[in-house]
Amino acid sequence: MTGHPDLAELFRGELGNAEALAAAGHARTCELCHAELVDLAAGHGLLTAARATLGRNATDDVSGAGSGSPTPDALPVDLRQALRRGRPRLLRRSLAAAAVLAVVAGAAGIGYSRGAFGAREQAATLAAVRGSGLPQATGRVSMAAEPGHLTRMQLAAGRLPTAPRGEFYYAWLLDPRTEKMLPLGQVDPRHVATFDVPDSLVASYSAVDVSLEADDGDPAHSVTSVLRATYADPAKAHS
Amino acid sequence: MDGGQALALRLSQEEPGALEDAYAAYAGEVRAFAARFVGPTDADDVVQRTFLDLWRSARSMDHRQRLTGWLFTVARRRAIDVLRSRRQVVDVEEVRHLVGEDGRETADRYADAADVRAAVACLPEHERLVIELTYFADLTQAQVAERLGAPIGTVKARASRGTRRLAELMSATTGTEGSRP
Repeated sequence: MTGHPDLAELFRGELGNAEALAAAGHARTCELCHAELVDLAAGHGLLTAARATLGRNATDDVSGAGSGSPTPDALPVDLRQALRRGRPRLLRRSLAAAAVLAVVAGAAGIGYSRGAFGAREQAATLAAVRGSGLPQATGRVSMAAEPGHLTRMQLAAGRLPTAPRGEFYYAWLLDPRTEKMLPLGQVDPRHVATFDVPDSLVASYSAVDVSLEADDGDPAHSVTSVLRATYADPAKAHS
Repeated sequence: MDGGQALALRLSQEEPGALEDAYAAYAGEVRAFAARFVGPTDADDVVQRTFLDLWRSARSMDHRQRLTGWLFTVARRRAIDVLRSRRQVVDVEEVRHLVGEDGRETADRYADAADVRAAVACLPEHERLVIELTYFADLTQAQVAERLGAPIGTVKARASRGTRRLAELMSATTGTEGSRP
């Protein structure tokens, strides 16, 4: 063997036995090849593992950034709509009356009330969840139609104490039947929280839940619910 | 700071285009992961919900955590949501593999693979093409040379450099401890 062997060929199994052993023998004593061998081994191992997990490219199309599976062409419509409108939890509150689709029906024992923002708007009372330790907590949630197949949900908490240090309140849509949950955003007891949610997602759930969350980076529900109200699918409620 | 951390930081700062970039970088792998358990149709729903979660949680996200670990853990939970919603017809083994430790390990494997794919995307174009064709399109070096119209020696050199560069790119980010949501 003259010069340095092609160690990449060694990894790809493209050398005969004698050549492979000679390459390995060279790498044992050549500092340059030894270092190269380490990086090649690491790179080859990473790529082989990724290939084993993701499988072969379905399209062989490697002209783009590349992906182990076909990448959806663009952001889904719901996501794009949300992006155009800005982050829901940062939306400025609007008191403008909107065409109302929503009817929010209270859960057992939850009083049903008319919305405060317009005669056609409906709202319900958020009731304290038993065992939350906050029996005095209450709140209101209203739902109103917005252009672009969106439902504007406005949530105002009442008699909800400021969250302890390192914790915060968070609103969710909930399907009690399947326990499926959709995070809406943070709730500050001092302000009305406003969320614009695609109608299709609103229809997939039937309750609004407010939980107390630890600021630990965990996006999952903490299981500590403090307020809850159920609602009927706004579209069905007016059909 | 690796690409995932940079993206997480941009997301936490609500930088325009950050979600699109995260989607472009990882949606394919998230979809492949979800499709494994819930099928191709519901996989799209899992992808959408996962990135919606990402968008809504980004502001409070610790950008030092591993973005792909977060994504695939949430995707796993969303896939479980889908399976629960149709639990009357779901295969018991399918649920077991997703809900149990195997599902968690699978999510970790996909997160690892997504990180590798993201690193491959950062290679110089001529090296990236050779690596993609060699490892993810199962072409031999000779076939790669033919596809690219390049001498075989050039392809071999690019493959070698690209493989080593990938290791260096990944090594530069391994100081980050993986964490899951």
